[in-house]
Amino acid sequence: MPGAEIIEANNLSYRFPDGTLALRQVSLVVKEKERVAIMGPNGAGKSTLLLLLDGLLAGEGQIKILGTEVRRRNLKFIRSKVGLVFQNPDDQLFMPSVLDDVIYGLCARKKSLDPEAIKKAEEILRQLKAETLVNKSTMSLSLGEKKKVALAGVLVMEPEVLLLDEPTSGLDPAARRWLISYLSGLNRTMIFTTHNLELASRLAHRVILLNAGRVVADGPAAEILSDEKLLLDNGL
Amino acid sequence: MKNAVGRTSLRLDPRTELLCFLAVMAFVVLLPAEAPLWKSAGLFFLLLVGGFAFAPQPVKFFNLFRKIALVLIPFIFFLLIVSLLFSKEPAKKVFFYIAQVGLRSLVVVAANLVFILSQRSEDLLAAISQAKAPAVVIQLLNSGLRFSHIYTREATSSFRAKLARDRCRRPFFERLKITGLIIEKIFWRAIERSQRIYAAMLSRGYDGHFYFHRQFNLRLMDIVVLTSFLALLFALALI
Repeated sequence: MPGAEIIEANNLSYRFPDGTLALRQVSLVVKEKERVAIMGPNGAGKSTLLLLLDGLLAGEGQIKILGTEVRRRNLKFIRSKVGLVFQNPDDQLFMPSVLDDVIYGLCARKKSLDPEAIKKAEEILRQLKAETLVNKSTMSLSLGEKKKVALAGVLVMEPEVLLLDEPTSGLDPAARRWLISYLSGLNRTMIFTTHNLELASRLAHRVILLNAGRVVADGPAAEILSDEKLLLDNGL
Repeated sequence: MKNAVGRTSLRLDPRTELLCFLAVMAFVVLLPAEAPLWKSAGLFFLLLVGGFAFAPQPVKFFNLFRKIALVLIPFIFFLLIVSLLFSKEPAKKVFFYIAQVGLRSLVVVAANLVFILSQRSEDLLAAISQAKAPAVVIQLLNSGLRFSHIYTREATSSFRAKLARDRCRRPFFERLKITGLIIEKIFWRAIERSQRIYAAMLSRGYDGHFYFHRQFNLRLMDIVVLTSFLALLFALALI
């Protein structure tokens, strides 16, 4: 069950370079081991919120992860604690082979090729039922395989907070079911964006509903997901 | 070493193959223009036979060679016509120089197929990294490979979508305009995507370096092949 506060965001706002306001005065608190679904229609600001939490975008307001403010000088610490899995794995996989991609984060942390990293990566790939991909090129994988490899590349770094952007998008029903059951077995703080009500209901303790960059609802998953009118009014 | 189809294939350290390729490039560039044609022709023949003998899939090797070589033919013809029209040299000499260009181009194509394209890109990058190449070179090669793969796929699907919506054959200039628009779209997507990829790299602690798990060891066979190949090139150049 959720414990101490891990993420604290106050009055977050973000404006795209073209002037569009993506997030307006968003505040949220996420506790240890809590699983939070960020839901909302397209363009609600869900992905932008995740990028802000990982320090990849800088907006207005304040974010604290494990008590450390997300600022330029703290980014190394923040990124050692927060792992972000992007929506499109083609944006995430940048090394030529699967194993090289999965070990990258650990090797970058140690600034050298670490044999322990290889063992750890193979173990994570085995857990994700992707051990057969280990020597494959990242360019020759299917979408489902790429998603697994992208997830492995983040999990191998053992982040305390896992941010997942639309983790089940583009997956077939069997792969989606498998991923949901795998994620629900991970005992860590997790924030994920989704349109998928099944994913939210099976995985999330709490749902935050965003629309046009504002928080329109924040509460227990069962309560929010049973409010049909609220969901329909917010494009879900 | 036997491959899946039971054919013996000679798999060298990628660094050996890379050095052989660089040696061929040096040979092609440094060989005097007046050198006899048989030198380039001999090297070309040797590469072709060697490539065929050791390629895991000889048919694929020949088909790829044929495709690339066919692209060269119009270029060589263009050069020949322009040279015949505008060069003050006698026609015999023009033919000689164009034959030199054609043969050396074929040598480069064959060497590329034998030493570079026959390797897995991840092995090649790992080998270049192991050879202590600057990080920026590896980054450029890695990004180039990745982007060329992604955008070839996107360009193919964009052109398919265009074909699916075309009801009749459009005039040439309109087709040219549409192709230009597709290329523009892919260009902007490339910029957008490169920003996202960079963000993903940063989120995993990218520090300007790449790490490859594959480490290659030079074997006796690599040294023998490299030494023999270099000796052959020297002999060809000096005879």
